[in-house]
Amino acid sequence: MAFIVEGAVCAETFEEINANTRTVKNEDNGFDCVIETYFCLDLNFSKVLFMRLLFLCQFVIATTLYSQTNFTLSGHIQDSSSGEQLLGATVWCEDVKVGVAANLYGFYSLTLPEGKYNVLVRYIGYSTQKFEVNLIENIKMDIELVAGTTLSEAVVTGESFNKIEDQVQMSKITIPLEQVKRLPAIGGEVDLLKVLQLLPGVQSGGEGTSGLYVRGGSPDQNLMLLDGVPLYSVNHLFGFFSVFNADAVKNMSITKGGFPARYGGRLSSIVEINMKDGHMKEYHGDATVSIISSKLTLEGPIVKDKASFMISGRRTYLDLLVNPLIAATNNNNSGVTTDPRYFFYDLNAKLNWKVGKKDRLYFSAFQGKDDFGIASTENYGQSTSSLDFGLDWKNAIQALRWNHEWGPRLFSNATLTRSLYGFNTGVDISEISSEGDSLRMAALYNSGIEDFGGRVDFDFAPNARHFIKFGANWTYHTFSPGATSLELDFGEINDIDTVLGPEDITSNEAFVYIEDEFELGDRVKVNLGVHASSLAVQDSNYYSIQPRAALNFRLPGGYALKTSYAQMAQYVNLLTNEGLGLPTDLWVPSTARIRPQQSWQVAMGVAKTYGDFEVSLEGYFKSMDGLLSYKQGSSFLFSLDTDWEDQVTQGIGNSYGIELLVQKKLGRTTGWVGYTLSWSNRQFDEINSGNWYPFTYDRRHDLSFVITHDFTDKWTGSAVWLYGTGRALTLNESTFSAYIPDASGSGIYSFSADVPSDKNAFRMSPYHRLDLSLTRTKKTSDASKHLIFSIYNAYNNLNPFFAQTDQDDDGNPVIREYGIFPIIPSIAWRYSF
Amino acid sequence: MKHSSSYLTLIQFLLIILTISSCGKFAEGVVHEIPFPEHTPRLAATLIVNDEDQELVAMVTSSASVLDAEGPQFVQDAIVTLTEDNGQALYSLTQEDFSGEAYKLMLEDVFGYQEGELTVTIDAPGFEQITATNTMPPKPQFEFVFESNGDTINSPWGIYVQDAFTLNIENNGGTANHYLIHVDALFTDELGDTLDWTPDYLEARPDPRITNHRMTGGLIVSDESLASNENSLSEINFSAKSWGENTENPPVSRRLRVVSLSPELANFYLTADAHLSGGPDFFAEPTLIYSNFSSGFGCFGLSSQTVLEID
Repeated sequence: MAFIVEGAVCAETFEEINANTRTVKNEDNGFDCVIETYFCLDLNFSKVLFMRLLFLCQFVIATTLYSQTNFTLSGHIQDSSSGEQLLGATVWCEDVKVGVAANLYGFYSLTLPEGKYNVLVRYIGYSTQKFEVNLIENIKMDIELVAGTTLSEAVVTGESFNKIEDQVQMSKITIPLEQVKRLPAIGGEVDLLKVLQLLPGVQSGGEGTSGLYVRGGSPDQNLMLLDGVPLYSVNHLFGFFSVFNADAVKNMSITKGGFPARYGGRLSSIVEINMKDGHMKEYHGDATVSIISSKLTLEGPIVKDKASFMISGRRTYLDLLVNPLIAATNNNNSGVTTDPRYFFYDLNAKLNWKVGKKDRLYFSAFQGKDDFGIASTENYGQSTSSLDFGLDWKNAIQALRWNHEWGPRLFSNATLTRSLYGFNTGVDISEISSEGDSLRMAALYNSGIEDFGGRVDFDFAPNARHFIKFGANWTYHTFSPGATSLELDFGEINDIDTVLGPEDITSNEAFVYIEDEFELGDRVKVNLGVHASSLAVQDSNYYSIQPRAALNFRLPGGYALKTSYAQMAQYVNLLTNEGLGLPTDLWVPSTARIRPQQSWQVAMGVAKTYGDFEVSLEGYFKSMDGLLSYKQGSSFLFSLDTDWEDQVTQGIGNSYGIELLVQKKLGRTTGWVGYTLSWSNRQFDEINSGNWYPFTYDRRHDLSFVITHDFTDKWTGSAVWLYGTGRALTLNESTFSAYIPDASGSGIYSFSADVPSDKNAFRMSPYHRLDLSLTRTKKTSDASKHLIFSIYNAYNNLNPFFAQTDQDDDGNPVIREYGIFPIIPSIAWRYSF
Repeated sequence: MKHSSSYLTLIQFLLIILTISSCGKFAEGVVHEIPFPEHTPRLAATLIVNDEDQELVAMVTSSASVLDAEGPQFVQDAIVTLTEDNGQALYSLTQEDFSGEAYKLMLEDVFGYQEGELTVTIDAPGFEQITATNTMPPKPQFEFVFESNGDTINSPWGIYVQDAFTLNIENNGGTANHYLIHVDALFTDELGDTLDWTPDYLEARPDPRITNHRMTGGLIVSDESLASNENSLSEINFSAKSWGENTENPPVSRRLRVVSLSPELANFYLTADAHLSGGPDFFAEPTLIYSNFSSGFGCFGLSSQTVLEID
């Protein structure tokens, strides 16, 4: 037991770890004691699991640390001009052919035997640094890389490391932000999630929407992390834009499978988006004006090289443009006024403070809101009636983060987080007569979720061949699954003022994890780990132990054969009517009646770099259980007397497919080609008569071409073309007549009923579209101006958005699909200083 | 650099061509039509029989494609045959019994409680024969507590009487039970003469066993998830609103009708209600109405009922 307790504080200093583990090694029965103690203790599941992980951690440390005299080169890698940490930058030791990548906070740690080494430090878009180091003691060295002015000027020298074939991680894609910003965008507003939709294995929910469907999963199965904090709704403007402001973002990546143990809580993907830290040396800014919105980003030092800030705001102004026109119309009809409103805004802010040589604090915040509504008043002398309809939703996150270097080989990150999502819709109708009598009816529906959480992560690099991560997380959820406030005021007759609907549900979600990425000989790299999670809700407890494994086997010819296995569990669910992508989505927890979602996924693939081209081919199979769906005939518009749990049903699903990605990140011409061949199916006992059916976003073929080219220093062009199999949909196919006995029991109530097809038996037309963009850049000594021309849907293919029964010219019924996005040219202007 | 200028010129040219060529699509509209498979008409039938019924009613139509402007048609030359599980025919409805929209056959007495499985077979020229089987559920055994409110209530929608019921239905044991609950009120007119029984509108607090059946205004009570619990159908609380024409006087009498539904019939009631009475819920997926006929359209359902009058 004593060992366990010591183990729990092993992270105090590296020297302390050293001391503890030596002690264990010197005691003949040290490990036995631990095991006996562990099995004899009458502890609950979480404690046992935590102890098991700690034991595993100690074991790995003990078996890897003391084989020889090693020293560590460690520090941070950052941009020389801004001080931004360069996550993923690599430190490569040419002499022994080993290297490491900097973590999310730019920290690296490379442990080698005593000796002299030639070291290369490189990062995409930056000049490579090469230096010699004499490792006769632990050395802390912060490294600054000099950025090339464009990706095309990046200097690539020496033997590269961390190519796609070097990485154990598979199914993860990173896209340079500079490349993203040059892609065509609807209304001139670059959307990060729409860029992700262009990747193989990732599909959109429909024309113009920001929803992500990853490897046959649902949108709620994507963990969207903004600076490590989950965001529950990522939509602006009914899904046509995401909440991520590209000007405020430092990097983004998506992981679709092969999840390392540090990730959990969702079945299908992890999308990590990190805000800029803020320039440490100079003040900089970006101002962009487009036809939809304007945004402004400012960053700079608070104390030079010590503390910095970044703040970025964005607001649409459709309402400001339209309202004067509406007002002019209202003036023509004195009895009627109409006041529509729609806008969204978001605000990103980050503070970054180097407290000392070993400590760093970050504070991140995001707030966004959409407000849509219409208010009208009619005055006809006798009475005045008014109607006010509103629909708004908002997101907010805050994160306080503390980075600490416990020693050259141990780094920790502790975070406190809050995440809030709220949705409201309501209507207020009133009438006042000239005598002063009034009638009023108001209804407000609201739902939401609020999380408070704490998380701690450790990165431990005992030597150059092991890289260990472990940590724990706890989240307290409060779900508000839809309550309706009713106010009825009918003068002298009974007034009603009440709240209907389910009560809030709270839950405690926690997980611990440990993973080790290590090498087995020269050809095999492995990442093994385990993620264990639990949920306590409504006097029920759920536990899940999720093994994770990934393997990279180097084949002759520089090819890498990769395979991975991951089990995942998910305790939050999104109730959504497929395809609408409306903010009416309702987040609900797993409860005593609703079991958690679970999945396992196996993937296998080949990867290789050909010159500047990264090529990967992957196949995957994913099995899912506990999927949640509305029953047929149900929606978020619950009957007021019905619990949401009565409106849903649970089922299973699977998806499988092949993905090809050819990506070029360097040079004057960059971009990628992605192709996906996939199947995705669902089975619910209470849907489609219990038979399997294709998922709404089952898409057999999905193809995208993305290209950006620097014509000159002034002119840059880009093009995106995509093609996808049409969305599956259910349509009423036939009709018949029937009856039931009427309320009295003595007569009949006859009716005609439509009979839907098998679920998702029909397909909309295939989707295809070409977007083009041309950017003119004018640089001065201390600023640059960009004029961006974009054309969305350049050849005006009207892709289907919805389908409905209609009549043809002869009056015969037909089923028609409608598109709503024609060719949309736009222009934006950007000023950077 | 020279190449780049050529690229730019080429791109500008292509953009102009694209823009001009795509403008024509605005005039053509935004419509694609989804091709539909040919629909082969099939027989659709409804036959719902209660042990207290004095008349058999069967509706037989031909199914139609949603693209068929004429819609489903009544089939008037069908033969509807109801047989016992020993194969002996109980009743047969033919073209002579067709009236208006259904086949109707007056019985000499009530249909009565039938043990065993009953089968209905429907034959019509030009259609494939369809069949369905069903078993009559046991007659409901229950007790209840009635709490009279006594006063009339003014509301923005009119004046009504609202009373409370607590119902305890005996569990048949093991299998799931489904009941349709109705309350009827008897009012008098201005001269004091009694009117016909008028169905009350029933409401219940959220209870996983209870579903409001909007087509009939009744409640469907089910213990599907609790069938093994012998108290699964006790303490069923609901209120009944009486909206009589002569609202100045409260009803002179009430009666409680508890109809035991076969599982197939309960499923038909519930899915039909979701399909028709859920309102134009734009957000919901289309619902399939349950069918136990071999064609997939319609229902053969049996029920039994107990009626208790409240003075």
